[in-house]
Amino acid sequence: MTAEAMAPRRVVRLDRRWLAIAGAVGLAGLVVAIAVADNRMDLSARQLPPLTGGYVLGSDQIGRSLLRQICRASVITIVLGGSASLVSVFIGFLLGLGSLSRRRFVRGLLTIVIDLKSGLPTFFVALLLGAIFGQTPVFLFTVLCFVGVEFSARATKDNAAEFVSGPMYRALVAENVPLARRAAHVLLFVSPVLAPLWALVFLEAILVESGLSFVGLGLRPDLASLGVLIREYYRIVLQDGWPMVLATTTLGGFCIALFHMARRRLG
Amino acid sequence: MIGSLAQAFLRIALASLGVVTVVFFALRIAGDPVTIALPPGTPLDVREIYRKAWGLDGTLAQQYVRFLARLAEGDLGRSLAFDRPATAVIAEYLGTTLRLVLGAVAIAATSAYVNAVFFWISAEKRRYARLAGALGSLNAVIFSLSDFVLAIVSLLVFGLLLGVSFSPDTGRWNFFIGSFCVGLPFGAYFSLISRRLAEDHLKDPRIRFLTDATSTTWRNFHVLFLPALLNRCWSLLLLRMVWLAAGTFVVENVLGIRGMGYLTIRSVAQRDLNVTQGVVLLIAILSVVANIVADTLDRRASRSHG
Repeated sequence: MTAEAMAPRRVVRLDRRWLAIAGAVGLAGLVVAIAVADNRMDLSARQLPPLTGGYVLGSDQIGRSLLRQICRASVITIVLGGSASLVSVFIGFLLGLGSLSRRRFVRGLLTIVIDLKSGLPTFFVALLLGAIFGQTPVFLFTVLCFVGVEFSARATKDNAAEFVSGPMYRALVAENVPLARRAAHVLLFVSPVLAPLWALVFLEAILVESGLSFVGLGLRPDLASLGVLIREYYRIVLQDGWPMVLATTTLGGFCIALFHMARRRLG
Repeated sequence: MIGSLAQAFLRIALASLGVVTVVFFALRIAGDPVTIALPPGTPLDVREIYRKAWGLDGTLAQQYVRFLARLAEGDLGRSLAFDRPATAVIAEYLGTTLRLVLGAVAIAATSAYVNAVFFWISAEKRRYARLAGALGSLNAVIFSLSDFVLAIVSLLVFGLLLGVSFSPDTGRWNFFIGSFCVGLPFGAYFSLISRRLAEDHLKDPRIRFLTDATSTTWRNFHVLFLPALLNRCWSLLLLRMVWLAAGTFVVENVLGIRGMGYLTIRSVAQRDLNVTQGVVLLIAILSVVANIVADTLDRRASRSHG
């Protein structure tokens, strides 16, 4: 049997606990709610309280369903934050792997990059780059792809060092297994740490996106994420505070859930 | 000693120059600042007058050399939006943010200290496990909500329910509540670390022996645990200080506090180049200094352990 066949296949198993089931049900509920929620704009049904006029969570100042708006914004926030953080973790993985390189120059350079990134808050970087290059979703996504890169780079560096210096990896090298496949083995080895880290990076990404959108440097109202909604509702908070309560609670709920997921795994 | 100090200053200077250079060119490449700053339809000759007055005439290289020469004299140029020296504008707003940061640090330190004392007592006496769990969960919630969400929740609770005014001109509680919003997640982060560390620390048989031999928990906390906690957290604390400063930027905008956050958003939106560059320079220096001091502390700690 070759060393590659014997290499450990540690994959992350889904936690079959009630919280994971509740999360899955919640997400499914979100998708269903978007599909069935009413998106009509009815000027005669403005600022309706919850459970009136067919609006489950009430309506906003121009008679749109709050449920529909919150669900749509949640999906935008989740898709943007989730995909960007996935890319970020992968970039961090590559950086961490590179910082284990035998070439001293590469190792030193990547270590400096990771150190610099950890010292500079993403919000500042995103704020400035967003202001310079404009508020396009693609650009915001690019900025979010670098949120928390240093966490996954450090985790990869610390955990992969154990595997790379071990006999299994040496056997893979001796068998001339291609670099990409060796990297895949390292990824499998560090995945139990990277998966909960992804939840943390995801949390930071949605907070950075919401913060930027709130100060007017993130997404525009035509692509309303939770941050954009909070900004829009903030303007009318004295006339109607309920929409802002809803948007803030949803964002806070996501933050707590993501942190809880990461904390359970990382301790 | 002098060699390492010189090295530290060189690192600060190089990193700051690098960041400022990137921002200098990026802000200018993204679009003509004069066109963005002046209203549409401004006559060409008027634009040229402003271009000269703001030091935006000549090639990019010439502008960059002029900018560096001015920077060496401590002059960031004139603010395009305020028509005053950029350094004076930044200094004015910096004072407000520093007050907010100091308030936040005081709240974070108090919260982290109280939590650490409780977690130590709970771990040492092997009691109050449920209360410690609840406090840990509360800290986790506060940390995960972050300063941004906490500021909005405060606005809703204090502003809407209790009628507290958050107006930038008349609000009296903005600072106090803002300090809590920035300081509490910061304190919660260290509280979570102290809980874990207290449990780990007491697994050491020598520490357990010492704590079992004496009944003065208070003294044990200060002699056996606090130095170890501080030793572990100093470098993290310094690095996190920059993140705390970033937190004040968001909270200022939510709670109507006219500090650096307000100034930065305004200057970025109005393309006030000189003020933006000044803010970036300040953040870069703060970040590099924090990194260098954290590095030094880490090295000292590992030397004393090793």
